[in-house]
Amino acid sequence: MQILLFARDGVGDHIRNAVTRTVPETEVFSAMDDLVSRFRCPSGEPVVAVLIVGSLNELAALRQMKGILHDCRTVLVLPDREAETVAAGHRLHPRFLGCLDDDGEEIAAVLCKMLAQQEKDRAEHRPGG
Amino acid sequence: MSNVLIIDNDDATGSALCRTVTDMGHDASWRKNLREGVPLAVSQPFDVVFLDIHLPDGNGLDLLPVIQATPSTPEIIIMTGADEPDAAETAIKSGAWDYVTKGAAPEEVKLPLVRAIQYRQEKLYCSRKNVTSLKRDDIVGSSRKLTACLDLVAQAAVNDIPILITGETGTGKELFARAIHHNSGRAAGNFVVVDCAALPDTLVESLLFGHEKGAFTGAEHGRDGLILQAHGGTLFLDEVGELSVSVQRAFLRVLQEHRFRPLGGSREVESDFRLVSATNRDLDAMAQGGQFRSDLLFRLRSFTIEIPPLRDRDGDVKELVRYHMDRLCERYGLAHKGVAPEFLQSLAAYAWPGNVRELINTLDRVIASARYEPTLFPKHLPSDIRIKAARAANGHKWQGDAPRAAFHGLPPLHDFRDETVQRAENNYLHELIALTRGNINEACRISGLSPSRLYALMKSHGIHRRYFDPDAEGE
Ligand SMILES: Nc1ncnc2c1ncn2[C@@H]1O[C@H](COP(=O)(O)OP(=O)(O)OP(=O)(O)O)[C@@H](O)[C@H]1O
Ligand SMILES: [Mg+2]
Repeated sequence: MQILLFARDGVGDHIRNAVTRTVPETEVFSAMDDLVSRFRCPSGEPVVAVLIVGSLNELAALRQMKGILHDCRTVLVLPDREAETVAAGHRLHPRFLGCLDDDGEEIAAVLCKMLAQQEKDRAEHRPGG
Repeated sequence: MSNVLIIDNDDATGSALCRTVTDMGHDASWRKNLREGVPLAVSQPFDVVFLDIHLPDGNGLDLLPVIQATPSTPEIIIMTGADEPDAAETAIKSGAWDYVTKGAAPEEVKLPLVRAIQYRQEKLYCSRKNVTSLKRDDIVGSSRKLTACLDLVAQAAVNDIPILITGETGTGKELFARAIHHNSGRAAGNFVVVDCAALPDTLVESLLFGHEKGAFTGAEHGRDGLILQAHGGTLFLDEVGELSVSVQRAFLRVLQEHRFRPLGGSREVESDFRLVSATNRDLDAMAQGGQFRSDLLFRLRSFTIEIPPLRDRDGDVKELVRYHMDRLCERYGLAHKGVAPEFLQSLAAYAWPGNVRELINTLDRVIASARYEPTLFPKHLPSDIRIKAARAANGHKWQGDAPRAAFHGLPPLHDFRDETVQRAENNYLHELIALTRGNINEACRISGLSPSRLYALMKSHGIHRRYFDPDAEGE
């Protein structure tokens, strides 16, 4: 299981810190291009993506890459709670939708539970296992 | 031409009806009691059934739901005596199409019959239209079982009742939930996923219902809950079996009233959402064990879609491999790969306990290891899959498509046998219900099954247990 976290420098630091503290093996990306390159590299491992979005532009850019997010579970953190932002967020089909003003520990707790669940499923249905 | 069944023990009424029906150009079958009439309705398709109330072996109204639940779901016209105004009312309440008085002039019989037949033809046309105009989203596959599920998606999309999607892990429950949303009148609204398995217990209520500023320590801002975010759209409760009993109680109220009070809030708020839930757990067993509220379960599954496991979807593996392989190659910037027939045969022979998700993960691993190789062979597969596939293929599963075609349209014996047994079992269950008139003890005695086995069998055939237990529905 691989956790990829995207957050531009200075955006949602409290969430990034909580996540990396709880799951130290998280790979952190602060440039969108690096994240995209990482997704384009086949690894054969399931992925959970934590996407911390600092602006509506970034959210629009993520929507462009919906195809590459197809096979991973996503935790999406939005820049604000406006109805339109929330609607755009749901269109990315996240398994969890949060906001920058959320408590970082809460997001980390959700991520942990999601990972535990996935590990359980995977132990039962490891490809070829 | 339509098929009409008449169940009436009165010679004069029965023969007059037969004449009227055949004069109108339809086919009429006539039985004089329930013992013969109901099994006939089960085993042959009928469009309309004329059903007498007073029959020598029972009351026709009692078996009306059974006849309605037969595979051809006929419309039922009840025959009442002139002196029985209450019976007519009961008939309509129990879902009959209409009623006619015994001994009525042929003209009076013709009109409800013509209308019932017209209704069925229009319904058939609409449901065909629904399936052909359905947006499939990314749902790939054309097996009979998958197509039947898409048919249910089409039906689910045109109304607003709660839907429960069941199926093993990785079968596509979320994909189907989205397809219902995208094909519904709520497609412009939000599709809100609630991953019940991922929400920490301490947060579930505030995330679902939202909270006001200061509702609890740390609540620095007010926050809309997920239920409110689904206003005008669809709320998808995934892994619904993971909700704690106390949250189930709170949610039941929301489902009944579509109103709720955010934590720390003084006013109720309203949310007009459509509910779709999904689970791979046995909610019936959970309800029996007290871990799931049966009143909530009853409401969640007004309409159930059971997604078949991948191993039961003949031919779909091949289509899924093509679709996801091309998609993954595109994503990784690789040239599309060819696949050797043996590669597909191995995949088709494997049982896929993790279903489509396991298949995609496997393809991902295959691509990671065969990155620049233009054609995929069985050797590219993880060895344990190859071994299991080989064992299965030596056992009973046919290998790929080639031998299939050689049978000049005949299905493999294994498939044919399975289908025949399924059909026979289904007929048996309907006959058993009819014969025992819903008496569970009697049904177990005759069939030699235990009640739990019998209920499980009915469930696997999509027959509701209320036919044996009138109280089950109101639980
Ligand atoms: N019929 C199908 N056609 C194409 N892709 C499919 C199909 N069914 C499932 N998938 C893909 O398989 C994966 C698993 O599907 P989904 O998440 O909907 O399954 P699920 O039943 O909800 O699984 P789980 O029980 O693990 O939550 C997804 O990537 C989905 O896109
Ligand atoms: Mg799911």
